[in-house]
Amino acid sequence: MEGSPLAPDILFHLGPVPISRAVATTWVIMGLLAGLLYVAFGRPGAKQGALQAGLEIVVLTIADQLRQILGRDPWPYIPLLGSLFLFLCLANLAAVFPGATPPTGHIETPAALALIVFLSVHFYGVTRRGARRYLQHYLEPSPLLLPLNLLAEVTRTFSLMIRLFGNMMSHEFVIAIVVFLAGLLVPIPFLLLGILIGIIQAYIFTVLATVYIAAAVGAVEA
Amino acid sequence: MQIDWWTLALQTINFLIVIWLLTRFLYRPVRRIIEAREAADRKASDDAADKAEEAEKARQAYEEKRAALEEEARKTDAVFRGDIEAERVAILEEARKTAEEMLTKARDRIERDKDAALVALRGQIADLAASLARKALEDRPATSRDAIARAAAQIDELPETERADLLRDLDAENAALTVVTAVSLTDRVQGEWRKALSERFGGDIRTAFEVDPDILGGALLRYPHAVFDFSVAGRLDRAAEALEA
Repeated sequence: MEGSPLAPDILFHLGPVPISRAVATTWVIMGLLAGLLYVAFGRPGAKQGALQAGLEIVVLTIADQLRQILGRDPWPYIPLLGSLFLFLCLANLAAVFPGATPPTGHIETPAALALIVFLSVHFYGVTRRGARRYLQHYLEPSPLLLPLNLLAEVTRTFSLMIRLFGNMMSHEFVIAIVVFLAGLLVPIPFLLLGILIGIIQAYIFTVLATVYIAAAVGAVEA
Repeated sequence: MQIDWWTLALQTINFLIVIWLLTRFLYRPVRRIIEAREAADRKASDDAADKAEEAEKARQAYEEKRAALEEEARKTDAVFRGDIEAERVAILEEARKTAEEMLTKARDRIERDKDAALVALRGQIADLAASLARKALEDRPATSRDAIARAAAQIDELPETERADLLRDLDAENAALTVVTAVSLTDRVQGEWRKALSERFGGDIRTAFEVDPDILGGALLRYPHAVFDFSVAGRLDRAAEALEA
């Protein structure tokens, strides 16, 4: 245990680019995801199997949830928000595999996701409402609140990042400490709790991103 | 707390790749499947609606056909009834004609029979009349003298009491014995009548003479209260009475 436990865990260098454990774990997750999707949908004309039906249910459930929050057709937002939820679930659940650490336990991954959400909110807001009307909503309900509105944009993105990072990181630390103190079997309930926390954090992150986007695209369009 | 900017950049790229991966290989296929399923549902629904429409059409066609059949049956029935009625009328007409013919024939036969009977009857009547006439005329008084003789004979044959009655009647005041003949008598014949009568009833009886062509022949003696008929007409009447009796 030398250095900060929060410091990035560099595994190797690819040329000048240092590859951290989080990036490598993400690549593994992406590989697994690609394999899963290939098995489920990769062969055109294949008969619909249980895997495909399961994934279909997952996607439809996400779409249903998003429709309830957005109050409009969720399909334009599924690529970002659905991917957020699925990726966060898989990333957070990496903790249950021995030797693997969740990429979200280091600040770079939540920061990257929060950054993408931050940019997406403005992207959706401008494309759905037009730049003028979108920017006008910073002056509401009063132009005096413009500084606060701008500050809120930054802070809520920051809190989005820190919430995920803090939860996953602390969970990782708790397990490490429990393992260090109590041995093999005691951390198992904490690992189960980790699964719950991982899914809850994925859900919270996605729902908050959805709410931000919903606020940006405005009230329900006729 | 330090941030590895390389890791941040790589993770951003990684997540964008994840978005592309999931969009390309998960969301689009799922959406396609859902849309295909919805289309299939819609098609099934439309098909069902079409089927229902077809069924409705078939039902309507059936109803129309049934109505047409009913109409046809009604017409056939009407025609049938008409035929029956016409046949009934024809039969009645024929029966009437036959009856009329029979009646006419019967009438003709009756007429012929009647004619024949009349002819036969006429013959009989003629025969009868002839025999009657013969009978009436066969012993008629040929002459006035015969008539006088006949009358005298009859008076002679009368019983005494009757002759006395006749006499008494003739003795009464204004009483007369009238001799009726078909033709007027000559004075000589009248004289003979008077003579013959006087011989029987005495000379003081009054005798009158009358002419009545209706008695045809012979003579008729009319007393105040009795008539002695020797006329041809009287004989004919008696013969006819005898026939009728």
